[in-house]
Amino acid sequence: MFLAFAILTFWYTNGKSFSRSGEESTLYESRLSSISSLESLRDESKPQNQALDWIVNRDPLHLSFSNPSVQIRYVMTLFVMSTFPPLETENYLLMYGDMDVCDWTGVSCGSDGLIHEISLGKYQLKSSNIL
Amino acid sequence: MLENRGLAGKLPEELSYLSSLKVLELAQNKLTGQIPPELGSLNNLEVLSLADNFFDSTIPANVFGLASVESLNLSNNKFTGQIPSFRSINLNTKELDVSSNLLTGNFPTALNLFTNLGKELTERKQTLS
Repeated sequence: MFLAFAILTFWYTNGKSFSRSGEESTLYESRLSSISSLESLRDESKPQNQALDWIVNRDPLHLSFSNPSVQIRYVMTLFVMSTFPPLETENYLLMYGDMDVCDWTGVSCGSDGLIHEISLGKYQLKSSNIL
Repeated sequence: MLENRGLAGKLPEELSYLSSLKVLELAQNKLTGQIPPELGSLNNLEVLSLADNFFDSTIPANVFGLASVESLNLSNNKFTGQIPSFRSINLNTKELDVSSNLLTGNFPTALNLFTNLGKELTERKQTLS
């Protein structure tokens, strides 16, 4: 019985999807509309929409819409989704998704906790190493 | 799949939201499209390296005037339009490389006043037409 409970808890907190209600999604959308247009955030063919969806439903850190880090995390996710091939995007977010963006490979932050450097020159995509 | 290496696609204009950014180094990938003009608002950016990609269109003028820029390497892309004018370039720039693109015009001779920059530019004049 305990084991079943533990497994369920594990599944709940580590599952890929963590769907939030539509009302909650709107709060994220509104917060991020200061960075991206509402049109792009709502257009399912756009990386802006995919990055929003990841932040709202799939991000292992489950940041609240009011968390001050949510905007920077959105921009980095958007950058990855815009420039990495789809499979590499999935792999990258699987590897680094449970970390602060300052610990994502290619990203360096200052003591202020803000991103100071993005260095992904000659980036060797890692799919062959992960799979 | 093994050959499928390097970043591709377009830079999102939203990068301009990272106002604390000092270094953006994305050389030797397969990035395309134009440099988002919004990046010109990155007032802390010191190093911008987008060399050896497939960027095209004209280079947004404000990229040369980035407030803190020290090193700007846009070489070996498919940028079109005019070589930047003297007035558009931040005087603190130490390194500027726009060679191996499809730019037209002459380098402004006043650029030789840039102590760290003149030699590099003169040498590279020949590669531009």
